[in-house]
Amino acid sequence: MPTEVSHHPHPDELKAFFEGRLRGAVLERVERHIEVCRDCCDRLRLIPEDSLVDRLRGHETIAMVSESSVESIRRAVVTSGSGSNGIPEELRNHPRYRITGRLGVGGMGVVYRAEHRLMDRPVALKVLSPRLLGNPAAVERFRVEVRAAARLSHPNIVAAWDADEAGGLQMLVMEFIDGISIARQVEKAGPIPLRHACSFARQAALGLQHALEKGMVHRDIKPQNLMLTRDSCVKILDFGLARFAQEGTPVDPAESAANAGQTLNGHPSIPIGLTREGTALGTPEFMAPEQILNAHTADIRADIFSLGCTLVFMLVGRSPFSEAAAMARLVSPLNRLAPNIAATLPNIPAPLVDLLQRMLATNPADRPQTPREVAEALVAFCKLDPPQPEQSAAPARTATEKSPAAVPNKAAVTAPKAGPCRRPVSAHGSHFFTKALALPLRFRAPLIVGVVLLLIALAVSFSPKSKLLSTTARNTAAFARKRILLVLPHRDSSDPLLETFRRAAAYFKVDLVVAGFQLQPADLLIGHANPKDFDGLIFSEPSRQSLELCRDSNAASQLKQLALRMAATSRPVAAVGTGVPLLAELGCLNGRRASQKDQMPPALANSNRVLWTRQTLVIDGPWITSGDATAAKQLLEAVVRKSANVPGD
Amino acid sequence: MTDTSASLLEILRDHPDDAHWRRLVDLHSPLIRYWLHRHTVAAADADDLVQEVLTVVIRRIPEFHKRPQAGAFRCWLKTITANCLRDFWRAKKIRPLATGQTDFDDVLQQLEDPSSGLSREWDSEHDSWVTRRLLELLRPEFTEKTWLAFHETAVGGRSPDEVAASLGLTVNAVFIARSRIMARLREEARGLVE
Repeated sequence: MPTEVSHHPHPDELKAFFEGRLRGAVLERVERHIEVCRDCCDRLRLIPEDSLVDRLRGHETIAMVSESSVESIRRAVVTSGSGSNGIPEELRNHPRYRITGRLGVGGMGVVYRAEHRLMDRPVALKVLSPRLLGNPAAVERFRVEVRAAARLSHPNIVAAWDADEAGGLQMLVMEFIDGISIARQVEKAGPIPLRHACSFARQAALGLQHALEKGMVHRDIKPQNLMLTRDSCVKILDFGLARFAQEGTPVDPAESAANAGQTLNGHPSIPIGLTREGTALGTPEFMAPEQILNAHTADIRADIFSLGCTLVFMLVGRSPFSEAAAMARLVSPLNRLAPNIAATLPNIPAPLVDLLQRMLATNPADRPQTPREVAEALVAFCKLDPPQPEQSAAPARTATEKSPAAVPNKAAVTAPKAGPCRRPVSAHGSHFFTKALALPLRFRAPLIVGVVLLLIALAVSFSPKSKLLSTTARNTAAFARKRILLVLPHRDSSDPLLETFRRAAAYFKVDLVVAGFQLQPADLLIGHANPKDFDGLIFSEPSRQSLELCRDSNAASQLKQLALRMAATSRPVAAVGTGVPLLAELGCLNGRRASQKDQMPPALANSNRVLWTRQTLVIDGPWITSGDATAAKQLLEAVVRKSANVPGD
Repeated sequence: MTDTSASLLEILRDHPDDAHWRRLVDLHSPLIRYWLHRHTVAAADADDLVQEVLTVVIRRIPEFHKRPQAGAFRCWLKTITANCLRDFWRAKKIRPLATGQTDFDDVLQQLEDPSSGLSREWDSEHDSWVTRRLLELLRPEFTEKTWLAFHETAVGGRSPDEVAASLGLTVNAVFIARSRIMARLREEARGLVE
């Protein structure tokens, strides 16, 4: 360790370091310096992000605006050759509006914040990019959006007030929302407490019901399109994809019968250079299967599906369908069965799980048929009356947490209100808990339990890792089921042991989640699996190319990491059949006893490091092995038993 | 340059093996499928087409390596995809739609012109997708703290001080973590994304 701080790196070197461009000896020197130098940190803070970060960022826009993937597509849409502050010439001296800022890039153009000069009212102006003006189809689509939006008037829908024009630019004048999108909220503060999440979903459902009654469907419901005001009021944004349910509006030339059978993309003629709104990578996560196949057959029930995904997103921090899973669905969407919601959400009341299962049913006929149905069903889970500071979240939580099977507190049910909740919610969400903490412990003993649960949930939510529910929260809930992760260490599209394990899991009443190197049959990618979400891990058998897999160092290292991280927290890691030699080859079983069935490759058998024995089932510390693939059920039982002995996080 | 690890593209050029081919395929299939979907290729056909495109890529990659320039791979991939699309449309005798704007010849022309709006769109989509996927694949190489330090600042845009505080690290450590993962990402992406 150098005893003195070396000279500060040259500003170019600092920039290169920040961007990850340094190598070798130079990198070492700079890193060592940065480790101890505060001045350089100050300088580093000021270096602007480079293009690589932009690509990673996606929808980093401020407030307002549909945050549907700014990353690439939208950027192409931004007006070029604009004046100072990126405000186009034509708008800077608009007779009616004074532009006060740029909110971001949205569906078909840039969104500005402005004020009506005479009425002094803040508005948002969505301006169609002039680059697209030359294309009549784009303008037509924009006008359809305007007409559609103007027909809607509801507290839970962003109001469209006017269509205006400036020097050839077409724009839509909308209600300015002081708040952030639900996507941003979850990004900043993690998953949303159940009652609030249900309340938000309910408000969105009410908005959708209104739209339905006006003959409209949204088709792009997702967390980026739901704005959350400071009063906890949810407003749906970007009804731009709305199509009148009744005929009359010339919309989609692509409907021409000739190619109807082949047409996947039911959306109107996409002008070159303009993608279907929200089709950017990442959005299919919230899309209904029938909508992916043919957007034109999508009705309000597709919105209900999307709302279901969004509700899960609010509760867990991500859509029930990962991006990759959604991509896979682009190929065979109908092969994907409704996801096992209970597996993703172990902590919510059974009736809500049922509602979500219905909303996310693959067949639209199996879903709630109107948003009103959804809104009414959600009432039971919402915190309806704006809580005063003296009231706590505790009583209601106690009631639910203690009696999972019972229908949640009926006393809280009142007629659905269309108005906004009045309880103020700060953009940071920490406000939720600050109020609860403020209440004095003058309540009686039964409520202490509720407060303890609240504090635990508080600790969980402040943990920087808690984008997903942590084991602590899960273990303290009254009705947590064990979650076992089954890893398929191969790239085959099926696994003979999978069915066996599923049946065994059902028998032992545990949730089985499947991870693999590709989706179908897996539920998630191995690289995405977080050991903290599971109570146990099981490696299935690799295919004949098991050794080949080990030579693929990335795959091998992923498997190894998963196993080691799991074992490090004393949670059981198991392997069955030829999965045992695989685990051994990864170096996990060194110094451990393990079960051997058949002949091993000499290299393994003679190795001193693993203590092979011919018992059917061997347990050594967290490692549970069975060389006999027919003992899969026994193995699972051992894993479940072992996981019951594990202390919380 | 000697102590950097080779990027995927470089490995495929110098000593290709199945695992790395598979990675290239895994990396690009969803993207290609997405592009095809956007140009009205039905799901059933998309699979075949994706296969075709990737087969051509794999077969012809030695030719590609002979002319390295920035963005070359992306451009080359686009051309191959456009050609496969054209053949597909011709074989299926699909005509441009009624009053529709989606004139297929127009699409192909746009794709072949690197400065067109559609081309540029595909370019950014390619870069974004590949970058993010590569990042995901890199994740297991790092500890959770290092990863979060990087992710929260670079992707999440949070201030380094905030992130340092919430992770129990010094700001210095956060910058170092960020720089390391950025470096790794650049290494992996070299040639694929510029």
